[in-house]
Amino acid sequence: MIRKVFGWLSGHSGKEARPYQVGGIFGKVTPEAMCELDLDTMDREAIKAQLAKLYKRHNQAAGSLNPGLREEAEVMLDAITHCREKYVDVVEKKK
Amino acid sequence: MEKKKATYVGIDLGTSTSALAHIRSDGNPEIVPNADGERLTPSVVFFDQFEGVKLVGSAAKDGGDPDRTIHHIKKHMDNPSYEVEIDGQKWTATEISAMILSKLKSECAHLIGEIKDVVLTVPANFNELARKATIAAGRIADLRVTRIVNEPTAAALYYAHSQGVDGRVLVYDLGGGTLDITIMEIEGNNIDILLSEGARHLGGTDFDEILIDVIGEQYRDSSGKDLILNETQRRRLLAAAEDTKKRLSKLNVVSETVGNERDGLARIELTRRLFEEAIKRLLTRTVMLVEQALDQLALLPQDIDHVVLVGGSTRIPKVQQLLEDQFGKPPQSCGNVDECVALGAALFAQKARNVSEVCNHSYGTLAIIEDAATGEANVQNSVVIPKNTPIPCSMSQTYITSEDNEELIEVEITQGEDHDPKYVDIVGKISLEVPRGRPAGCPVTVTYSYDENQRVRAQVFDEVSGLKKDVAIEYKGSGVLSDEDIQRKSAYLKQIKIA
Repeated sequence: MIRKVFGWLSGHSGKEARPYQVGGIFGKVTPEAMCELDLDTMDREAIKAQLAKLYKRHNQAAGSLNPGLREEAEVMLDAITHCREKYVDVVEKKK
Repeated sequence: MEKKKATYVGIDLGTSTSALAHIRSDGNPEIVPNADGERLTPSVVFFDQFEGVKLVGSAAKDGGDPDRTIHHIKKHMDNPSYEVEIDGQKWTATEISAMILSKLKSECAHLIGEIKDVVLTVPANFNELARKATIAAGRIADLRVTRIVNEPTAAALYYAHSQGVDGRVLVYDLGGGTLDITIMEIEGNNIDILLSEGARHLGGTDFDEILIDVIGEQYRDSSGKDLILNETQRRRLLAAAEDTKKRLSKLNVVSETVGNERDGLARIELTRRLFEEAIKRLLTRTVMLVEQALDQLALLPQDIDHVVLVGGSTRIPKVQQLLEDQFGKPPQSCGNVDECVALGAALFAQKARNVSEVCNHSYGTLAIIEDAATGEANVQNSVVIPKNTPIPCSMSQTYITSEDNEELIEVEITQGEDHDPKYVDIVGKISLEVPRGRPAGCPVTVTYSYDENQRVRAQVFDEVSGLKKDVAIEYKGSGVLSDEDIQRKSAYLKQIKIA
């Protein structure tokens, strides 16, 4: 295994991506939980930034060569857009 | 007498429609109609059971058994296990796409001469497998695919050519199956692509699926019964929903009579507002993709000089409204939004050298990376060439071996931007044998190089021994056809009657 040059510790080979179990589409886990939103501490901008970060990850994953990851990504994208519509204006109008 | 040959041909192999364009003698691109006189050929294939003919285009779309009719095959180009079985024979997405290309090739040749070399377009977010499948489809159709170009790049080239604009342009390509966003700078004849991002399952066909759910709910409200009884009926309804969707782009209210053989007919009313509400979740994704594209370049909406619409789904008024809200100005179109990709592809065939592109993907490797703050080390994806780096380019990253006495340095080639290995694809591996008896900590340099044709090479260089290994990165996983497979399928396709 190779390490990035600024440090080393023992490690192991990388594993092929596996989809994690969500527990049903919005069934057992809320979209807010899926998006790791802490509504007690996060303001609108923080929520927007968190959702943008997740959107980037899962939008990319939606085109993965791994079909399991693609399926998971679609579920996450639904959760992300649900939270976006609920907590942030969909579009900030520019005048 | 020498056969006339077409020059500078581009083909947009679309989810809903396909088109072929070439460059005229005056230097301008034009769409070449098919034998039915249509500029756009529906990307539909019908397998006739009586004469063995494969109908492609409107003749396939407008009638016949839905169970023998294939729509939107492009959505399955990255799925090697996807097959359609008809009359006991299985057909892959690549082979069905080849039939569409074959029709365009043979029919358009009557007008412009023999067609051999072509540029094919693909969505910007097509992964490696889908790109290879598209090239394979071209080869099966006996075409020589000289380049693959991203659809927004092709559209931007046509926009620059036809409008004569300069400045920073955002191309918003919302077609049948995908959304692609490309930001570029145009100066005269030169185009510098700055960024290309895309989203799958985000296009007109997805809106159609949602609309049939809405229609089904309305029927249930009216009759108390389910509208759709079987897959055949669902497919017929999908085709009708597409027409309804188009009418809702022009009218605020549309009245339809729908029903089934068992429960009868019902008259329902669909409003544009109801449709927009139903597709709202997908439209939110489009907004987020635009924001992501701007953020990656640290741009604000006002930094974009022109927002250009491409693709039939941009006719939806809500799509245009959202863009106007985001950018503070109405988006523009470069003529017929359904044709500009093919027209741009023909221009690309002629003047690819005027277009400076960017890497379609990030490439890197898995490595143990230590968090400087916490000291915690774990396996992460270490990006060497980030996506959207201008090409051609070459970038390196040096690592160190982690164990004593390593005799084999194994470098996994990753494709993807995420640092979490779970979210990247491993598309290859380089194994380099090195001398025994070395301590941990030997420097190893990994270099990725992109050429102007988006071909990528990887090199692993062991600095202590001077040994190195160099490979071309080509996805060779499940679903990639070998040259022999392609030749065999091409020979078979020539025996089939396609009309």
